[in-house]
Amino acid sequence: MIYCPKCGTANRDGSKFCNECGESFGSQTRIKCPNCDTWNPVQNVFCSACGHRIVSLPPKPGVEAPPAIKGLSLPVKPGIGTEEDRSAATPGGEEDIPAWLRELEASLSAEGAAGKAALTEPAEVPDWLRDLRDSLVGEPPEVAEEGLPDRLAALRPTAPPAQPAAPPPAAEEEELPDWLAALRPTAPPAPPAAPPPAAEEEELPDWLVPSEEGLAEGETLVRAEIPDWLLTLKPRELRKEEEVEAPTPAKEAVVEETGLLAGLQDILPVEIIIAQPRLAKAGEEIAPVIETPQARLFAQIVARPPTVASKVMPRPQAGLLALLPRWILSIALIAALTLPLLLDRPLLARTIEPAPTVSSLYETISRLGSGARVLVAFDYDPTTSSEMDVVAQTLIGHLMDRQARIVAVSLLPAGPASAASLLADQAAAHPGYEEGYGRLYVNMGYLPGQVAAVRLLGESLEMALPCDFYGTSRADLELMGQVKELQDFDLILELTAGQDSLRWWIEQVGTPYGLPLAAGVSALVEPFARAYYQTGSQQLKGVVAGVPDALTYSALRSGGEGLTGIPAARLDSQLAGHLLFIVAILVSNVAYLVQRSRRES
Amino acid sequence: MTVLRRTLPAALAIATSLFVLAALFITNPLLDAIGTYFIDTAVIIAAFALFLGLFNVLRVHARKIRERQPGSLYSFVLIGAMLVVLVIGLPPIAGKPSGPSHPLIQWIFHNIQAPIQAALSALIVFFVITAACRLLRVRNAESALMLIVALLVLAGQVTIGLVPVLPAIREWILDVPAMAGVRGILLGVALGILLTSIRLVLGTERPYSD
Repeated sequence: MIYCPKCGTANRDGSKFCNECGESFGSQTRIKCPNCDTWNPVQNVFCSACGHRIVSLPPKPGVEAPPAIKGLSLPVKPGIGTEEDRSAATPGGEEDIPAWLRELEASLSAEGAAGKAALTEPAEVPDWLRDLRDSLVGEPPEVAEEGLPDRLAALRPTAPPAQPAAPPPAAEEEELPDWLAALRPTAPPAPPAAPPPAAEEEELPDWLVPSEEGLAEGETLVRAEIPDWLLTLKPRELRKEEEVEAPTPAKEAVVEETGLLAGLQDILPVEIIIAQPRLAKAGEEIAPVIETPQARLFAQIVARPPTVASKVMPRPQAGLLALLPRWILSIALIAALTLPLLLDRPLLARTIEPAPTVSSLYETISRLGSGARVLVAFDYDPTTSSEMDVVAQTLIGHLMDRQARIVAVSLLPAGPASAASLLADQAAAHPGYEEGYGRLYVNMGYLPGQVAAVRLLGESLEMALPCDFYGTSRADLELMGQVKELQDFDLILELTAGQDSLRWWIEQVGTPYGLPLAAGVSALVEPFARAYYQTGSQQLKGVVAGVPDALTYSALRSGGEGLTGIPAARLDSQLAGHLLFIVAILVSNVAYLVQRSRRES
Repeated sequence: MTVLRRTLPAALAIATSLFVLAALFITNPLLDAIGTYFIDTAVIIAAFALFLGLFNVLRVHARKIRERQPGSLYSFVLIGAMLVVLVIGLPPIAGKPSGPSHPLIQWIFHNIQAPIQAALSALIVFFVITAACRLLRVRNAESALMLIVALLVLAGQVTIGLVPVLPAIREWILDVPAMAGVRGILLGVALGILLTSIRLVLGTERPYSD
């Protein structure tokens, strides 16, 4: 629907002019919202940006809205109402007022009040029209303080959508002739089946009353026969009335002939035949509709008599891979991972060859002097703690070996709890650290904000770390009195199982402040961590990735001795799992190749 | 309306980003203080977002319970567990500090949350081994190359000290071909962040008002 921007009348899509006021739609493909200046399609009633009504309300039916045509409208002086009313009625403002309206306004102003009175109350207005106008004018306006009648108040652009107008009072209907009420443009349409009132014939004008003047005695007027072509033009409603009034032919009585109801009449209603299927005759051939090979083939297949399959289709043989169900694979995996842990001795006697990344980190920590301050970020949670705890224990243990002062933080809510237990365990294993919380190591807890928190550490350490994990103020922590800013740390150690947090520490702290940064990561993050290790400035001084690197690091701490005890068992467990992976992949490939060769042959 | 919804947020975002950028590139005490204040504000807002997340979880699961949707029993357990932890952790008991460092909360963390999360994470290995058997099949030349690389890296992990050449091959794969791919990804991420930042500063990208 297209709503006329001038009068608000709904028009069908594709209309070029308004049905009500004749406003042209040809040049308007968009409507500008008077509230926010947003261009909207002409179909919009409300602005899609701000919800403001961009189309003025249509006139209330039966109350106001002087019709512009049909000869019943009284001249209305342009400019009546407020400025908003005028702008709402004409979206384009004064520029959209047609020339003839400007001339009319000028002539009115020139003629003065007397002329306006004469124009608004012409002498030739009949009495019934004057009564009609008085009845309309006599209605109390809804907005008394503004003195505007309803029809003008309805045109306000800020008014809410008009409710369905109440039907006009019955008294008003009685005062109007029916034919005049029918001409009212906004009146609700009369019910189509309502018969015309009998009084209408009585009020026919004289020239319509049949006259018998000029007829001889004995002659009367005979109703002429209406030709068929004229009958076809008769309104459908009138034709229905005649059809209803016409006597319906009597139904044929149905008498039951057999059974208990024999002799009774109209016991069962006659079934209405909606569709009677055509019975196929024997030997009737269906003419081919589509002369294509596919259609002929389909017709031949359909014409074949059904046959029972002579041989049973063999069941598809399960492939070799299907013989290796998942539960067998799962049991093998559980056995490979748990059996080495149950044995007391390592399965393999091996020499440890640390990776360069591991050796570099070991040397970096070994070069730290006694009392060096290290910021450790525990950016992992229990999801990866089984792997990351091994890495963290090794690196924290080495830091405590070097008598380092450790400040722990975390970017994850669950990180400080893991850090607390791990730091307590390592402190208990290192003489001097048992009672050293607050002096030798502190846990400063969770830092919300992710990358912003890392940046805030560099900007203001006091603002970022106001208190520790246990609620103690930083002023009461001896170690925190030694570090006023981030540059006071000798090393930042990032323990993470995610590449994002590693990247945040490098981008926001390590590189901008020139601080040495090292990382203990999960095996999944190792490729990303190596990329920062192999830069010219070595953005990471070293990387320990996963359990194998951590155990290798432990071997370095113990002077290059071979792994024994639980660390060796854990490494054997992981290596057995890897070995099972290799075997499973090879077996599945062999099965797949055999199956493919059979299929091809 | 338009000013409140679009213009004002865009102006605030652009002004804030420009101040933080200026504090990063220009050494000025006033700019540094303003930049630090904005970053601290971001941290506070992020902390407040946790509260919003808590209320959102409560609202979603309360609606499930009220409408008796399938699985509403789990929603009931979730809300009950949440309330229990809150009641235990919020007030200081017997002189112990409130919050996550409370001994009871620590016990819940180490004996309930940590084992459950670790167990769920450990289940991944069963899916991974099944997926590896299906994915690493020799269908064409590319898949054959992928299979060989995977086996070499795994074998280099297994045979520590047994076959010295395998760890060296694994190191070379991680240092050269894998490194090239990782650096490409990191450069792409960096360029994407740069482009998004420029769009935010210019007001072209307005995620806060859309």
